[in-house]
Amino acid sequence: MKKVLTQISIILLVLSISGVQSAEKCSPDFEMSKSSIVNNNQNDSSEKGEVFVFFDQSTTMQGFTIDQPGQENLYVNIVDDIQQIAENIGSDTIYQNFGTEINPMQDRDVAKVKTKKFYECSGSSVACNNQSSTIQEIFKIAEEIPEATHIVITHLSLQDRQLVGNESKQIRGPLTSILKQGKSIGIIGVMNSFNGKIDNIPLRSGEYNEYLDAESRPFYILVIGNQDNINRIKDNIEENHFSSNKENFKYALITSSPILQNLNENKLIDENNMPTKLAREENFNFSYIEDYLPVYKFTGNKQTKMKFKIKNNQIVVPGSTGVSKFSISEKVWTTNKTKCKDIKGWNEANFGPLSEITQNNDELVIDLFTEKPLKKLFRGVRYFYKIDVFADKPGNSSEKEFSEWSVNSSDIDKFTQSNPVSFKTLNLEKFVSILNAVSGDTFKKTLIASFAVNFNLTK
Amino acid sequence: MNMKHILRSVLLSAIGLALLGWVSFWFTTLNAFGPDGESDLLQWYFNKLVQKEEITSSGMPWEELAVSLYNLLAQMTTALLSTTVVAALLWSIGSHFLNVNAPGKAKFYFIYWIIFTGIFMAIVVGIVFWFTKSAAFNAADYLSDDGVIIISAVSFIYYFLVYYLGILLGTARFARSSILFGNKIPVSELL
Amino acid sequence: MKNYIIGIGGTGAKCLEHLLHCCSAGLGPNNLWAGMVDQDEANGNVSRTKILLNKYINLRSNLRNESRNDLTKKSNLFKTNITANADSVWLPMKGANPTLEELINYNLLKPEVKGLMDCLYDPDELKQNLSEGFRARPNIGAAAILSTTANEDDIFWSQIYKAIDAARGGEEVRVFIISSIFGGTGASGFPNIARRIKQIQKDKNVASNFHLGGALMLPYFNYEVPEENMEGELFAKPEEFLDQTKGALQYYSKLFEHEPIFDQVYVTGWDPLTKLPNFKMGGNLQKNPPLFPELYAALGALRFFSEDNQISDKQEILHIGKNESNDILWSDIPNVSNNLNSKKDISKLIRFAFSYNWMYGPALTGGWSKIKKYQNENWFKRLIYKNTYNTDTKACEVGHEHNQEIISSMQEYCQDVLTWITDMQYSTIADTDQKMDLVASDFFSEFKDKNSSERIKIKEKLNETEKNQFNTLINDNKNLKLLNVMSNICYQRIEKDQKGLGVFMDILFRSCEQ
Repeated sequence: MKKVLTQISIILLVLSISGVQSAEKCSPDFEMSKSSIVNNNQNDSSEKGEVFVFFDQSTTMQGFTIDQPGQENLYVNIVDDIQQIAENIGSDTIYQNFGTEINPMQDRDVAKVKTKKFYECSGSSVACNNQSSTIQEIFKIAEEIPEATHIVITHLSLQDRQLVGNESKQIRGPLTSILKQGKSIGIIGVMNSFNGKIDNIPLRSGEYNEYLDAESRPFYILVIGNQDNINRIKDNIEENHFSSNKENFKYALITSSPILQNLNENKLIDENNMPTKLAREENFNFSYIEDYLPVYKFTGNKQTKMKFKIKNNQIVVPGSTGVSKFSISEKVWTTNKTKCKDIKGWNEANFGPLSEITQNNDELVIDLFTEKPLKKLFRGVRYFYKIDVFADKPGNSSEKEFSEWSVNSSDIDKFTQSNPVSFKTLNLEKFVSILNAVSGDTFKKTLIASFAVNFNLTK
Repeated sequence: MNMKHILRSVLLSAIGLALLGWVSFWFTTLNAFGPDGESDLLQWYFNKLVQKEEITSSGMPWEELAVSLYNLLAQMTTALLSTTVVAALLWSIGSHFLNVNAPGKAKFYFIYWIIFTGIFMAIVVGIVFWFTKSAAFNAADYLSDDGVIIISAVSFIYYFLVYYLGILLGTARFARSSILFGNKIPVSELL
Repeated sequence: MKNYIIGIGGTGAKCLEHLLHCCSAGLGPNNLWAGMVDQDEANGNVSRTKILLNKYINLRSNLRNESRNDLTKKSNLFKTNITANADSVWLPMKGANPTLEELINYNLLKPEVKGLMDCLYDPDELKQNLSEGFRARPNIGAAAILSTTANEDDIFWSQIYKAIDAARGGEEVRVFIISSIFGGTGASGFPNIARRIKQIQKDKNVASNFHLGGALMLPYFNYEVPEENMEGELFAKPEEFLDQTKGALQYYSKLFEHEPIFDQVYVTGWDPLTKLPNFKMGGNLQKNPPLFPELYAALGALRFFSEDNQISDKQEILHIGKNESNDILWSDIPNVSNNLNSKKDISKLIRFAFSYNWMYGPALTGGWSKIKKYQNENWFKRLIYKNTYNTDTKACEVGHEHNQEIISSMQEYCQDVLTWITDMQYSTIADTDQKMDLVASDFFSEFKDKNSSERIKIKEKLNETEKNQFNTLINDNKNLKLLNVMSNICYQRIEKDQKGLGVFMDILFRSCEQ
């Protein structure tokens, strides 16, 4: 008898628990939106790839190797640093020089890069490889060997013809392929002393000029590869030479994915993403559904303020172009039972846009219920409001970053006639713009965060 | 004071109240039972009283939401009818205590009636406001501005008429000149 | 049942005044013939009662007119149908200056009879001009009355003869006489008229259905006689009243023992005697105020006439008195019968008089243009308009002369009621330690005790505060407010067959009942 009673009690207990569990439908059924971010920061630590280092051997680069009195010359040191870093990040480092063509270099010849002789042409000018910088060839190599890291040291002054038509395609095509494969391009700009000739300055007449009076001029280290390696190189140069003064240092990262991470992946969203006042609302509870979706549950009133904030540095790759446009996807479910245990089912609402997303320098803010204020909602109804936050379009901050050092072909004549001491890079901004455009074309709309508010109003 | 006369007034007042008041009683009963399928009343509420777009966009079936609205209206009409009955009976009984002790004096108590009626109507407005605009009832959120206006106007006019009929018949005979058109009531041993 | 009342002398007339008001209050029998006996034709009290009697009869006649204004039988207002001769006063000795000498033809008498007369009467008494009464000389009065009461053709005495005939015919007849035991006409008239009536009854062999009652007023007032100009004058001397009463009581004691003339005798007096302020020998200047003991006599008469009063074969002598304290209360007023509550009905009459005189009478007085402002009020529509509406002329005729006459007559009568009760209240206790607060009268009247012609002045109008004192009008525990009266007149059921102003008058009267 006792045994039977015990069995009955157990059965009843199980049923009641399951009944409770099955009865409570505190959130609706929906498909969880998961992130599609590929973590480009992850290096295959077990394998170091090859590193290709390309030194621009064009004549004009010679000016970086000759000191200019009163100006700091970092070119030599940076070349050394690059050599060092390349050895560190790569399993194998292959040095090459490029001008009109790309030629391999012996390791022992790398030291010559720091001398003016490296940039002189001993034979006839026709045979010399230093008349121009065909950077597009490097992009082709980078496209062909995407797993390697490619480092290019160059002046980056590009003629108009290189940025339009077929020649432009020679840049765009490989870059698109590189970015699509999840690789990035880092542009490290260093304003350095210069004592030499700047040639191939296009004039309006169609001829070319040269300038000899520049005392400083930027050179660039283009790094094509994993973001991680790019960052290492950039950090190394920055720490070694620009820790105190970043005036002569510029950096931009062109990537198909400026998004750092999805915040849901590692449960990085918490109560602090909402105003602290919300936590003081009646029956407040913060929890995760399926270990993925954070839900803010509370009983509020029509004056309750909900502002969801995310720090930019949590979602945007530092130095990258950032994101110029975010969007939100909203879905609301309703039920006329406010107590979870009474809820039998949810109804999908059709409210239209409810909230507004804005971005400032520091953070991304989603102001809930600006389009449709809470006072238009009903008391006695439970709402489940899910928001997915997307990055829609990459930014173009890098163009602004380099605009200071850039001069267009239409202005360079006039610029040159002004006898500048610090010379600018021809068509730099256009080049970066092309990179951004390519990056934009390869950018996919990315889910960066999802969250929900589950609430009812009492007054 | 002659209790017989007062009881007579109460009875007449009740008859006066019932002439129109039955409608409120029926309406209250109808609402107390809740929505019934696709009834005309349910549809009328949806078309005239509530914020159609908001309710439709909420995704919830109107029939489910309407339960609380029916409840609100049932309680509101109960409160209004009770108040009306109490007011009419109070006046009817109180009219026997107006100091109409001489010929020609009854009409001076018109001001008392105006004030009393004014207070009653203010209470009616207050009740409607409490039900439709305050935080007391969740279902008040469903009501549109037009709906509130319809409810207010209909309540105001209807309950005034119920009250008026109640006091028209229930007011003490000697005090009839104190109410509007009270002196038009024909002389009859029944009234 | 036929009822007859005879008030003998000034006291009888005053008692009749009280009786008339009691009858208008509904305390009287269904019918009553009233008459007075007084040699002093112009006696102020007799005149006052005569006027009142005429007012009563006229008003009643106007308000019990089946074709126009009818209170109907059910109404107690002016319930008693009082009839009287055209001249309600019977003078034992008619003529301009009658004397006893002329009456007995003294000069033609035989000497021995003359000698007897000389023994019985002083020369002054024989020659006294009796046109102003018997001057407290019952011996004179008795002779005069005895010699003139036998005339069946006399319009006054024919009523008595008819009454006795009616009794012989099987109808119950009750005759009641009231007088004072002292004084002139009363003292002489009471036993002699009673005996005369009894003799007629005996002569006509009427052994049943006829009852004789009487109220004897023992001394209840006195007055100061001024020394000057009174020498040689015959007049009622108050100091002689008690002696006269003593002698009279001895006489009546013997009379009642050996010759039970009356079926019921009501005896009453007053102590201390009320002091009347003015002394008048007679005539229209002898206008004494109504006094409380007279009310006892009137109520005694009404009790006698009451159908509940089972008159036994044995003569009954009843005396009425008040409580022993100096306060005269409503409880001192006896009920006429089990069904007729004197206090209730008299109070009702007083309230009716008040509310009619100051509230409703003025509202109904005047032409239609003045009265029509009330036409929307329930009481007016229900009681006046509907019942004075002429379907031919399609107009309300309340403002017409014939209705206005009734309205003003009633207002006058109401003033008489208020004056009567106020005067009685003031005058009974004036200059004594007694207290009488049956009604609160200070707020609506003024008492001038020295002014014999207008002792009581009733205010023409009352302000709101004074009107509100209506609820303290009758001094008892329960208060009836004017509001209650207004309420009652709006709700009281209209009796069937009531017509015209009779509707309003009766309902107002009934509405004044506590």
